[in-house]
Formats: sequence, structure tokens, C-alpha cells
Amino acid sequence: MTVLLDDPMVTTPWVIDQMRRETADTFTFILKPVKGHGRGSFQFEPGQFNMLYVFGTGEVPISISGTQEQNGKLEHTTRVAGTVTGAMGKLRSGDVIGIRGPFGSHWPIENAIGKDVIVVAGGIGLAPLRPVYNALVGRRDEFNKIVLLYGSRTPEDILFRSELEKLSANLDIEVFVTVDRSTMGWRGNVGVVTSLLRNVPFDPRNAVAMVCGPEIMMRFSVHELQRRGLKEEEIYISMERNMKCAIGHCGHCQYGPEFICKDGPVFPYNRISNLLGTREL
Amino acid sequence: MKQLENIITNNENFKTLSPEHVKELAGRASIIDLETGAFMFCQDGKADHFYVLTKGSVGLEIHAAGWGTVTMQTLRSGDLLGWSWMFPPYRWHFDAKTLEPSQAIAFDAATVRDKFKKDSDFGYQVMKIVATHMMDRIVAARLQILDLYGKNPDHQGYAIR
Repeated sequence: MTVLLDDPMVTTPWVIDQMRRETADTFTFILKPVKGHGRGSFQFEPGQFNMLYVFGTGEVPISISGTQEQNGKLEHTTRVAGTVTGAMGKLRSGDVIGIRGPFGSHWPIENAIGKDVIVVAGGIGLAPLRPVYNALVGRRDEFNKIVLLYGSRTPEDILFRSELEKLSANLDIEVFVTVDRSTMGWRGNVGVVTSLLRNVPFDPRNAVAMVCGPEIMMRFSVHELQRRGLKEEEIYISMERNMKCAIGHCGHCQYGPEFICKDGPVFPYNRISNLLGTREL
Repeated sequence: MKQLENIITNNENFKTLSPEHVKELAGRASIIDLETGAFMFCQDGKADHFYVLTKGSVGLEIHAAGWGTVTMQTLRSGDLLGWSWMFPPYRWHFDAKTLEPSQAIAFDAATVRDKFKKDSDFGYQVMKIVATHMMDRIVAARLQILDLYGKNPDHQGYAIR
């Protein structure tokens, strides 16, 4: 259940309990609330995001990559991509950042009950899907086949590698990892993640797909899923645009009639299919 | 022969072929089993077959002294392997090495080409199948070139991930 916020524009201080380096340019913050500023346990739905404020630098929307329910800690995984994330990358344990959220729509886990679930992630797009596959595995009996497809740039860029290895060892979830460019020693799959979709086992008449990654990767993944016979309304994608207020007031993330921050970031494909590929948006 | 016809008929790639065309292909095909690490073909070798993988996986590789071996793409069961058999001088451009025990239908390239000349409908139907795989692979190669997960200098700076 989503916690109702008193004032969604007011940031709350959280302290960086741990900073875990994932790859050369990605890292995960494990955050705990500053004493006296907590709101009890932080509840969110997989796919939602928080606004992370680096004091003196700026605020960016970052998807929630996990929580640790037993101790109320919150996890955010991001890549150094701009000024704010660059500043975030320089923070260390004990530093404090501001958090507003959670905001936005979420992945349709309840809609996936009783169906095959295909999770398709590209690059850092695995982070917003991490709470999804953890939830699916945690409630394994409620779903049919679970397939996780992940495309990475190189073997060195694979996110949550040990987690994925553990998942692959799990016999009732199928995990396929591919890299766009192989390097020495890599014996896994080489090729784009969309090519994996051609032969993945699922029943298109009773399946849901959740896709997250660069927009081009998502568009081509949708094409492949449609070619396999999956209905548009059973394909969900997570969009990103320039979000500022996160509550649909400022208009920075307007996407045709939608606001990515409020109506998204997760959309059923059929709701925005006519907007994707429109250059002006 | 009948067994091969059944295998080809039941293969997703050939579902558009008529029974007569399947029979023609089956007469020019054989099943091959391959151990891990077997080379199905090597760069500059004679492209006298093309393949449809029915089990296992194959890495398309290129090797050069001082540069090492680079795998460009992994092909899996259901994938068609080999186009060089269609175009003179009929020489392979890359190496294809199995990554696990694999099985493939191997088609004899010269007799398939001969059949193309005599039966244009057969040629058209088979070429449509090959062209579909070529299109998929070109699209995949373009996406690889785009380096989608790398840093894009023109990116507008928004980041939700």
C-alpha cells in the first residue's frame, strides 16, 4: 500500500548506511531514515520512484530498487549520468540525502497472478524491475512461468550479478542474460535482449510482460512480444522523462495527455503506443 | 527421409512451405550432432551447407592474431545459420563454434541452389525464410551498434533508473 504523504514537496533526510558499487558506473545506496524524521516503515509498490535530493546540487527521480523490511532500509540503484547523479556517486556512508516519495504508477503484479510473466530488462533498467522479480519469487505459487531476460552492455556491466546467478540456480524461474558485446572469458549469450524473446517459452494467450530499459530497447522488445502474439494491453513499459515536481504540477514530464511522474512511469503499452516514436514528445 | 520431412515440417521456420517443398528440402538435408567446441564452419572455408539449429547453441566468432577471439552473436535452437552459401564466392565470413552439445539440420547448398534455378517458387519460398532471419539479424546488429546501454552524450539528463 502506498503511504499518503503530508506534503509531497517536502523532502525527508535519509542517511546513507552503505554505498555498494555494482559496476564501474553504477552504485546502490542503502538508506536509513535520520532519527526523528522516519515515518515508520517505507512502503512502496515495485516500479515507483523517489525524488533524491543531493543538498546543494539538485534533485533527480530514481526508481526504488528494493527495501529491507526487517530494518526499514531503502535501496536505490543508479548510474552516473549527469550532474546530480555524478554528485551522488561522490557521497559516502554517513552522508545525508533528501527523499520525497514514493511517486507514480507501479508494475502490474496483481494482474500477473495465474499468468506467465516475462520480465525484460536492459542495462540499468534492471533496477526498477528488481522489486518485481523479488516479489514474483517470494509469491512463486501465484504465477505460472516466470522468465527474466536481461541485456547488458558487456559482461562487466551486468547488474546484481550474484543475485541473478542465485535466481538462475532456482529451478522454477528461467533467467537469460545476454551482452551486446562480449569480452574475454565470457561464455554466456551474445546479442541484443530482443533476440532472446523469439524462443522464450510462454503462452501468449495468458501472459504479462514487463519491460524496462532504454526507450529504443523497449520499442523493439514490444515488437518481438507482439510478434509472439502477446496482446498490447498485457505489455507494460516504464517511461522516463524530465521529472521535477513528481506530482503532475510542473509539466516538465508531460507526454501528450499523460504526465510520466503521475500517470506513469509504468504504462500499459496500448495507452501510449501512439505517442512512442513521436519526435516532438 | 520421412523422418527429416517430419522434422522440417514441425520446425517453426518452415511452417510456410508446402509439403512438396518440404520434401525437396528434406532430400537435400541431413541431421548432424555436434560436441561442445565443434566448429560448424570456419572463416574463408567453403560455404557448402547452411543450417537450422534444432538443439544447443552456437557462437558466431571472429579471430585474429594479436586480437583474440570475439563472439559477435549467440545463435540458439530455431535460428538459421549461414548465408554465405547463397553468394559467390561461397566462403564463410566468420567462424561458428558450438557452445554446448548441439544438433542441426544441415542443407546441401549446391543442390538447393540448383533447385532454385529450376523451381523459382521453391527458391522464392526458401529465400523468404532466409530473408526473415537476415532482417532479424540486421536489426539486432543495428541495436548492438547503437550501444543503447552506454553513455549517450546527447541524453537530456533525466534519469529515473
